[in-house]
Amino acid sequence: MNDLCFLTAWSRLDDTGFANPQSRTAWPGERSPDGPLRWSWFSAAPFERFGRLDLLSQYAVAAAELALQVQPLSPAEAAGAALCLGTAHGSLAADCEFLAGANSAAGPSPTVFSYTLPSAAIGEISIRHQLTGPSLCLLCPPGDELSPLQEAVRLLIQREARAVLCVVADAVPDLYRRAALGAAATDRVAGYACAFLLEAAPPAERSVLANVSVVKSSAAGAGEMSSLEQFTIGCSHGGATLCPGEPYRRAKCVLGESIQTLSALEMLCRTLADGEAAARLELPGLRGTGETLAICREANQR
Amino acid sequence: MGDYWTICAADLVTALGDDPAATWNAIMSGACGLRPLKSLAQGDGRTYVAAEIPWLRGSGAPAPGLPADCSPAYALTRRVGRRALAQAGPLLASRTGLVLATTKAGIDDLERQLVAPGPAARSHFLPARLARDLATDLGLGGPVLATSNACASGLVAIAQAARLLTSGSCETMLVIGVDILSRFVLAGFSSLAALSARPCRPFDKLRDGLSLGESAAAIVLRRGPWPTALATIRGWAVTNDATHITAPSRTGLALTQALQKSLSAARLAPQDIGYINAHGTGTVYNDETESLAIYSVFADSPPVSSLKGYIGHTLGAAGVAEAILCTEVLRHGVLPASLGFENLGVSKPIRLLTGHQPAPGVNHVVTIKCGFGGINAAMILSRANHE
Repeated sequence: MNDLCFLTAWSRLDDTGFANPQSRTAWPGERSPDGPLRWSWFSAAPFERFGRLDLLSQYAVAAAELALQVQPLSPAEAAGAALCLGTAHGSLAADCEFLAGANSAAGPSPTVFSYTLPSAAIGEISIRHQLTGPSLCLLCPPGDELSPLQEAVRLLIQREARAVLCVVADAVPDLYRRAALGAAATDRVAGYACAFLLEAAPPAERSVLANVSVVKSSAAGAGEMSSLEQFTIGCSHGGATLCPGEPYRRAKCVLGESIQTLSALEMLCRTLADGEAAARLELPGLRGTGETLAICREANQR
Repeated sequence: MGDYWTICAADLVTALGDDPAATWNAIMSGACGLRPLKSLAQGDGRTYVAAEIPWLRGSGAPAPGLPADCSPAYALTRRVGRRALAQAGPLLASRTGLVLATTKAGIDDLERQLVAPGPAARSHFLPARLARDLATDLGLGGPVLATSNACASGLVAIAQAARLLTSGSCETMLVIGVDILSRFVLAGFSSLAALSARPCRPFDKLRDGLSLGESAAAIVLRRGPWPTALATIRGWAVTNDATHITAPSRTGLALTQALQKSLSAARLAPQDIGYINAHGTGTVYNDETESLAIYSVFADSPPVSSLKGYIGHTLGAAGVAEAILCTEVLRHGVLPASLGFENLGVSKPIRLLTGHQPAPGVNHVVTIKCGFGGINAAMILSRANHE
């Protein structure tokens, strides 16, 4: 069984804007801080229903679109491709909206109820890109949101799919932040998303951005990430160090423990975007597996 | 024989019984757990039919050793998890993991939290938190995951557990499926006009909607043989319709592919299958789509039944709960009737069971679950120790 697979596309949306290997764009000034996303920011291709999606689906669909703009899948590839969605807070934004409606004179909304399952985001991405292979939606504890990447690799290694689009997304409503996290109320949309296209054997004409493998270790603590400092030990990227800046402090305010995920994500994307330096990044695997996910790129691999 | 995974132990709580044997015996006696629902008033003037666990919302603490404000979902999952692990015998807890399957378990905690914000320590509206607290409570040191793949959650969770076992990430996996009746879910399905006013009638000409149920179900899964095996899992497949987020595909193509791929994974032919545990929700479109897929794979249809007429649609728990009932089918060699079915109301001539049917030779069964998001799952269970 070959434990190696290949990363061929990625994307991310965060506090600063959105990016994929071909572009990096700051959020447009028209963006309302607590408003929904606008499809025209991401793509010229039509998607009339985008405005009706819940916030989680909007982030997830946008991340998928940005990644697959870089490496479009042929219809045959899409038909067998798996979709793995990871999220910490799932459909919480839609849950809160549904509850608010159900407790008002308007009554419960069937449209909103349809989005009170995170698998709705899986459905939206699958429909748009005609992904008819295995679907997997994982709900991860805050701070563990990148573990779906490891499970996506597992789907490839165990030959359940030849390509997996792994989307990690979260959207936390202000209502919940005030009530449950004790955070100061803000008008911000606390959302982020990233997407990774992983393939078992990409066609020769497709650029490989990095090699990805699951590394098993019997060492105590392997696969654990108990602190940000511990995570940085696993990184080697031309001497760069992980310096959480202002965007991450804001993110910590609204997403609590997800600070680690956002920091790891930023490091991962920075590593992938750098076409010059060789890099090896070790992401903590799912706790309890004793595994780490190794993402390695050679200099000028792209 | 290819790779396989063994169900070493199982526990199940439904409206019909407090363990797998009690539920199975109630099904064999023709009991129906669906009754007018009294405990969850909706304020919309309608009477709902649902399969409610009789003791779950009674007076007093939910279970010994748990705080009085513990959510019913947590109490139920802890109960079935503990009992399944005890039944499995000595296991290395540090190498045992957990996959939790649910749609909205603990959702009523969210409403409480929003109305009266407070410490969220025992709030379990986030499935990942429910899974983490359960694993801690049960002393499990292996990987912990929660899945929410709508009504296919249970089968997807079993598949995920099998993947972790295959990769050697742990030795044993506990898989728990849970969903409980809640105002949230009742209001949602009611708003979709998906609920029948009477007990559901899967595949029947007069079917007009589903009936909700509640359940917690747990299995202990290991790779390879086990001395007290209840059944084995030989293969599975998950596909996506990619057509609509709530309605099933009208062609059944992706479900057909899931059935074909699960047979291929199990290295079995259609004629090897002795029984199909259909998803069979009782909605017009689900049952029609399912009949198209079953007929296209099994031209000579094996006996088919839906268990929703007995225990209701238990949503995220359905995959695990009905897989456990499939192990009872294999162990007892009896195929359960499809309660509520009288006259075929789907376009393909699949063989619905109108009465229990002895089948001492049944070695392999298929269970099917489909959910919002276009997700289809099919899994093949085989008689224990069957070569």
